[in-house]
Amino acid sequence: MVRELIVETVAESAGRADSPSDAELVAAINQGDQAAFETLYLRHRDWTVNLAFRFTGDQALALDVMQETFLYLLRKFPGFELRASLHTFLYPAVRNLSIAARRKAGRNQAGSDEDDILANLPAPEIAASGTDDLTTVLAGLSQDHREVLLLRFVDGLSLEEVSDAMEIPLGTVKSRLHNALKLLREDPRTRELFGE
Amino acid sequence: MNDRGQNDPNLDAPEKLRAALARSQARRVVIPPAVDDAVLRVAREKLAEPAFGVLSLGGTAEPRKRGTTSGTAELLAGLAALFGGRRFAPLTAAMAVIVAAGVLTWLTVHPRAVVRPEDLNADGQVDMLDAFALARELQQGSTPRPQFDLNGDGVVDERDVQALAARAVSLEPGGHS
Repeated sequence: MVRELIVETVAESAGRADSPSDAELVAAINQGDQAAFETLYLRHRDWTVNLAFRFTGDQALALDVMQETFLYLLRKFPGFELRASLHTFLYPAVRNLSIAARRKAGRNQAGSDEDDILANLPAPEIAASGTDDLTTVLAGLSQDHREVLLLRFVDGLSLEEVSDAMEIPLGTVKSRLHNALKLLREDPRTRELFGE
Repeated sequence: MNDRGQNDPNLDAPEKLRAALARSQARRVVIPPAVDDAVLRVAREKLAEPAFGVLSLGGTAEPRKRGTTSGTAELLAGLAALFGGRRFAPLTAAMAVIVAAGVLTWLTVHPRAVVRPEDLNADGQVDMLDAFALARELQQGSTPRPQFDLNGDGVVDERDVQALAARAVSLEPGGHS
């Protein structure tokens, strides 16, 4: 009952300024506040598991990665300092744990190094919705371009946060975003989304 | 404010595209309640470790570290009174300071003096090292302590080692993978 109430409360607060803030929750967790961790977990678990699903294309693996990510976060306490948004901290963890999960699951046929695995990441949105034009075009983008686009416009990260999360220079973020938008704008299947 | 490209029209997406992108990612992975429970159970155990501060009922955090300034003063006063004679007061006070400083230093660098029973090696975590330590104790034929009867069958044996190992690598209660 209490759990359901918390979930509903967190869900209702989506889209509004979070209160308490992530930084305040982190400070409380550093003092051993279990309720603060639960709030932080419920606030970010859906984003985390869906990001993991983007990387793994597998629901079971995504759930494993989500759990591992929060255990990784938990191990940072006490003494964890939130220097940027929590998503910029969680993103590389989810990405690396997803790569490890896919490697462990033996689903990467092309090779075992990180570049191979990233290059062979699935396009889960295709499997999810089939024939939608946008998802087809997105699947045609490189993983790097698609990820910048989704982090910026679906996850709502700023350009700097995308840069921090992906651990790439800001200029590279802008370049990838520019190219991704250009491809979508020029593709006849998605051109109308630009009002053209 | 310097937007550093945030408002660059070449880097922005029309609302229609944003909405379509959001819809394309609308498929959500359903998180079973058991997964939530497992993560939160591990969190509760981790956050209950002595390394963390203690939250008072009012929500104010109080560090679990021993030895506040006032506590130190009270301790020194007590030691001085205990050893104190008027003639040797300066000497006993100095001794008290040394002893108290030593005690406080030890307490500060050993914040995990209280360990859980299954934390065999007393490193503050229940992990595979504890399972190894228990296995080694059994192999050496020493009489294991009764609190290591983790499966509650009245005997401390290799099944308790397996239980401890499983607990260390899983998300089950007590696990710290």
